[in-house]
Amino acid sequence: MGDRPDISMTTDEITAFLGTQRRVVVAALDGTAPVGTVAAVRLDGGELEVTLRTDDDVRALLASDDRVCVIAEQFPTYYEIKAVCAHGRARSVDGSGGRTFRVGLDDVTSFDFGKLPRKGDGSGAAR
Amino acid sequence: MTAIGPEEDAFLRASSRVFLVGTRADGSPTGWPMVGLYPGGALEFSTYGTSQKVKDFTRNPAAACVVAPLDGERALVLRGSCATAGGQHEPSTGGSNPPADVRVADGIAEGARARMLSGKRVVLRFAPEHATFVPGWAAEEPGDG
Repeated sequence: MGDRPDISMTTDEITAFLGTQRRVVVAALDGTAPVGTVAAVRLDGGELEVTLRTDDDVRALLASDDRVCVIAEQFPTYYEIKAVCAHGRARSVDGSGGRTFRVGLDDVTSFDFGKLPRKGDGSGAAR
Repeated sequence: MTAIGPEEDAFLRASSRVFLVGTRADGSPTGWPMVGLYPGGALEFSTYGTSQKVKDFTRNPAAACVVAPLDGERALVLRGSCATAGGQHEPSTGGSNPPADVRVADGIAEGARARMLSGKRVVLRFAPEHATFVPGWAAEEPGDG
């Protein structure tokens, strides 16, 4: 990693952070091109349960290709910036017609700026 | 015809909270929360030249952005392409001052600019081809609709 510190989150930290989140960006595919949208989220049983808007085009795209990335982020102050990106396959919740889906946390990237060395420690980083 | 009309232009100038979306090597979607800088016409992102997102957009420039202010009733979804701006290490907006809606700790902007000038960081430029407003972060719960 050279001069870049490891600021990824532990599994417990990821779970704790996601438990506080109510909005996410959902990334899906339209053919080979990525698309994004805003959706509601809740953490349930160690998975993310995501609900799209009724008229969201991403719903049909996920029915065609279920590969998905769900991105949660907070940015109250610089050193409180945290984000988690969960990659996986969208599993439609029964009865939702694909509007609500679940995705596991098996393939996750994350960062927590609270783990950055503070100014004066000889480091720091830009977003 | 540009995807950015006056309404989109004003929105982009007011908010720098952007989720940049691309594809991984296996073709699956991925994304990064970023500070998006808007000099007009395109969005710019400062990142390390060795970062995964640079590799991903070099492989497949197809991209999307979701511009989503935390307190916003609306978000702007953009589709387009993203590529490294050749020879450019500093955003077109300049490297000295962060956007008004970004709360940066003391010394961070200066450190970031030093890395820009050292050549460690590059500018990713996203060119929008299509724009759509959708309900945003502060809109009514999608699950309630």
